[in-house]
Amino acid sequence: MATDSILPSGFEDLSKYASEWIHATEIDRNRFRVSCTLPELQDFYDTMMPRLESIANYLNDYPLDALPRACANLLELALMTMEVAPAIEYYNNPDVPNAVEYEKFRIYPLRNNYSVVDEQSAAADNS
Amino acid sequence: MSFDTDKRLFGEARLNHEQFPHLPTGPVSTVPYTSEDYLARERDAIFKRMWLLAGRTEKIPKKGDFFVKVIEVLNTSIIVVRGQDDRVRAFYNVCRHRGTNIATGSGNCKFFTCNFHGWVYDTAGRNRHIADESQFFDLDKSKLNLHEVNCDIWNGFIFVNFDEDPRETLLEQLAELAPQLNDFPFEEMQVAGHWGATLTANWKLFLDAFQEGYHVATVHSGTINEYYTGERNPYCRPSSVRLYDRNRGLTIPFNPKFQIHASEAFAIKTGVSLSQGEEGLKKEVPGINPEGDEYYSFDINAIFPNWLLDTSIGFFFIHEFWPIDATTTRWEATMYFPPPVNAGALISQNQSIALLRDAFREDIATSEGSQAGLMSGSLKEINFADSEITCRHLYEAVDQMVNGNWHGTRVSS
Repeated sequence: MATDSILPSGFEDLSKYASEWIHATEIDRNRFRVSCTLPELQDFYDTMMPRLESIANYLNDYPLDALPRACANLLELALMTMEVAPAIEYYNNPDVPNAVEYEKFRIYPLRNNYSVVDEQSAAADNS
Repeated sequence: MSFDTDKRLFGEARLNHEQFPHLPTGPVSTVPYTSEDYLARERDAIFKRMWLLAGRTEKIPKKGDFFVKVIEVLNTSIIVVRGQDDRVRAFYNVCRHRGTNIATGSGNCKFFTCNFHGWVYDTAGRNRHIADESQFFDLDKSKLNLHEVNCDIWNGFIFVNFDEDPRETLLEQLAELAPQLNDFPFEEMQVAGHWGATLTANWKLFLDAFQEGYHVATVHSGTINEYYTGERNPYCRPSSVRLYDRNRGLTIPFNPKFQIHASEAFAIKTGVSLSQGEEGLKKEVPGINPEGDEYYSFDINAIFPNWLLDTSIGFFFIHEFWPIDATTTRWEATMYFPPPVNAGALISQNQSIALLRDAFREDIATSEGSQAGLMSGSLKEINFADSEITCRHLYEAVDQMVNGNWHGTRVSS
């Protein structure tokens, strides 16, 4: 896998989502989801959902505590797919309707269950 | 006791009250949901006396780990800390000099230093240093340790009790709920989602929104309704109810005709899902589904006074309802999953996290509207259905505690 690519090989076609849809936290993923239009969410969902299983199979070969950046990007696209899923599958709307106002609801930050390995310093250590 | 589940879910008989005939069925007063005087009595009779949830032990796994818990109804915050001797203790977050809070948030330390004048306490609460001590008059430092609060642990849940001489042990207060849940694998799980809101609603009214299924068909019509209702259980009645002293439990079944969506199919295959249906039932988990519901989804376990411990197959979640005043409540919800073993498990968990979080935003949307209606004074009484027996039970348990006629083992009329 080339270390300078945004996504692992085999998933390059998803790179069109890389600039906007990759977010590292639940707060950012939710905020981005509710800022999208339903057609934008539908397009992302339709592209990503059939790929989820192959994404999981690919990523399962890597330890969660030392993911190359491209793998973390791919993981975060998959996590965004799960954030988007209820909007498409249930609400047919970017945000959940008839819910308490967005501003009144707090999502607390949590430490992620994965970490990214710094490939450049890892390569330097090996040389 | 045998349960004819189908009869419970759509018969006309009011089987929950038949099972618990000691609970009254008439209307209840709106006063306990609206009155500051009533909250003051709850403070004295309940919050100052009973074991209250402080947090989970996995939040402070290492010596010196601590977190601060704010308890508004008691006008205080406490420090919960794992001492250098590995013991978990709780202290008033109050410097013995002039009362300043000595810690905020969470962290790890060997000593707490007050940032006002630099008094120092160790993690066992002992006063270890008074700056410029010679300038005080007849101080005995050994008598100026942090004030300790009673602290006990059950199944990784840290409880505190502000009564200097608690009338009940923690296990007595938990009653039969403790043995039911003793073997549930709480310690195998960690926080995977944490949400909160402070709303204009009484703490009991707010809690009630999460301890009955009657609201599901309406409040959750846009989200999880179809997983829980359907022709077998159109009003999402509980398939069983348990009363354990002032605590209570109920089981919520799923709709066997539910059609899973793509994200749920992925989550079920890769890990675990809120809406895992019959796939979930293939796993054996101790402590859940006490009545053996064949379409079991999850149990709501209401732990008196103010929190819910909802257990299911492969995850659990907690709701805490902390009164700030009679009509303002801070709600905190935390969802727990096992640490993900790989990316697939992590992705699968996020399916439930997003859906449940959004469903909670629906749940809490009605509370402020209900409170506003009660505050108008136009309603003097509330009628609870048989399927809302848990709301009734909370009302009765609180009212009897407040009036000093708690009968010890059962809520009686």
